[in-house]
Amino acid sequence: MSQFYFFDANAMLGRWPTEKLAFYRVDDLVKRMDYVGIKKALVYHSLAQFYDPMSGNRTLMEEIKGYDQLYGCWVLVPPFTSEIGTVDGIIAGMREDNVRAIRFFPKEHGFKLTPWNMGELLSALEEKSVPVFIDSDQVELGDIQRLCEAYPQLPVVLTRPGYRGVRMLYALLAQYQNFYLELSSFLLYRGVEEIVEKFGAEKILFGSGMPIQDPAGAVTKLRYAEIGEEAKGMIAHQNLERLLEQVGL
Amino acid sequence: MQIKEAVEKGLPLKDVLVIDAHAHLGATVDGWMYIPTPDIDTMIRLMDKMGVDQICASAILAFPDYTRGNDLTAEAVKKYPDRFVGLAVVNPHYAEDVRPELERCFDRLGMRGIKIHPTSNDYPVDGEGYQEVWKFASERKTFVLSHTWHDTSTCNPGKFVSIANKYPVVSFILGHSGGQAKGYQEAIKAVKQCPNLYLDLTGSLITGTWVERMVEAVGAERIVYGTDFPFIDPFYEFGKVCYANIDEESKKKILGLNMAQIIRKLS
Repeated sequence: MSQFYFFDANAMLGRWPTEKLAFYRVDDLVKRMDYVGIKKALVYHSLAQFYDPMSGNRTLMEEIKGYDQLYGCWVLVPPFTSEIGTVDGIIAGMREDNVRAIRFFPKEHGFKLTPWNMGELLSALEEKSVPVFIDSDQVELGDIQRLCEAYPQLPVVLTRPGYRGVRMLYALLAQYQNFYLELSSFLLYRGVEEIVEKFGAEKILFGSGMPIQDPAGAVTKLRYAEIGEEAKGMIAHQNLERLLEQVGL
Repeated sequence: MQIKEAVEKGLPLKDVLVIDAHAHLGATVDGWMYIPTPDIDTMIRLMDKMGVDQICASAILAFPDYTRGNDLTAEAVKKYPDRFVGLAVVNPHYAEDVRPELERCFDRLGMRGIKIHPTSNDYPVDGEGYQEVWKFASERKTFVLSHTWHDTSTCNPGKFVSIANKYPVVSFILGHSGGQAKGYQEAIKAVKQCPNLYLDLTGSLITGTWVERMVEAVGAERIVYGTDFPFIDPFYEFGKVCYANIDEESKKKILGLNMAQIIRKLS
């Protein structure tokens, strides 16, 4: 058996409005992690996506309290409507709750990841090296390019990247050192192997996408991938650990 | 060794018949989508890593150009006759050529099944252009794998009920089982109505939870394993079935025994 372990960059708690998914409760998430062999997970809450970001974030922190293997990922929106309070207040709250990752839903929440719309929030996250996670169905890849260009020290992780935008994804991987791909739903045939060869194993983060996706998919892909054990370890857990450790709150 | 245990160790499945009912050949994708290293020797190597015995494959090229695509499939079948079950592709817009092309594929190129993609051809599966497909499949007692997707005008799963009832000796495989949650429910309903309809597990949104729900709804003997390989990476789909919380015998039926039985029916 391989020596690496899995640190999931993309797991969700809470109900999904349009389908009964595999689970929604934290104890079931933990059981599922045990079943497929995932040791740790970065988690956000569906209420922060489908209801109110800040109350969803609070629900998340209450639900994962006491589970040392779970790490909170907050969902934020631009600061101008004051829903999230001040930028300084957000950073202080993250420091207090040890939250080291942020997720955005620009399409769902109706905003653009641009300096004029995000104000000082993205600059603050960049200054603190906080990685931001964005689902591929929430943005155009051109938006990701502009984000990486405008904030070169901001780690940008495209989650659920799919397999149809590869000609643009490769351009982003080649040109932006702050751009990363998460593994769930990255179904490109031998895509992991080719990205490791062309761009390096540091560009991919293991993610299950559960419960929307089946965690067994990405777990199995990485176990069988035709790459070295060192690269598997980087993808499985080291890359995410490095991104979270370098956050300077 | 249990199937899940073997996959946890990254080993090929031994003593388990594995037939991928829904695969392709990507050697000439021709610009539609980028697929790294789609040559058939790489495909064989990956099949060996999983322990996949056979794949039922149609060339992606066949959807824009069925003649050239079927020729490519024939090359793969000729090179690896024990590993590739060739699927003939036809285009219903060229209805007059459907029977001649199927005869060419089955009688000269060694094909053993039929693949249709009503969405790619933008043609309804209950349209006139497919009639010769059903008749030919019935004469040869072969199987038809069709792309299906919920809420389309061409191939939602419910459309196959009347066709399957009219041609009971043909095994119809509902590719992707309708593609998404509402489609799975529609496909399950259709399969319950016709003994010659099967669910196909190919699909990025089909989770192990859905595999478990499908087994409970229609029984494992009505479900076949598929991956879309090399259109997409096969290991994701492989893992989902091997980790599904169903009994070992059900996994074996889904992974290969059911498809073997469908292939054996061929006249």
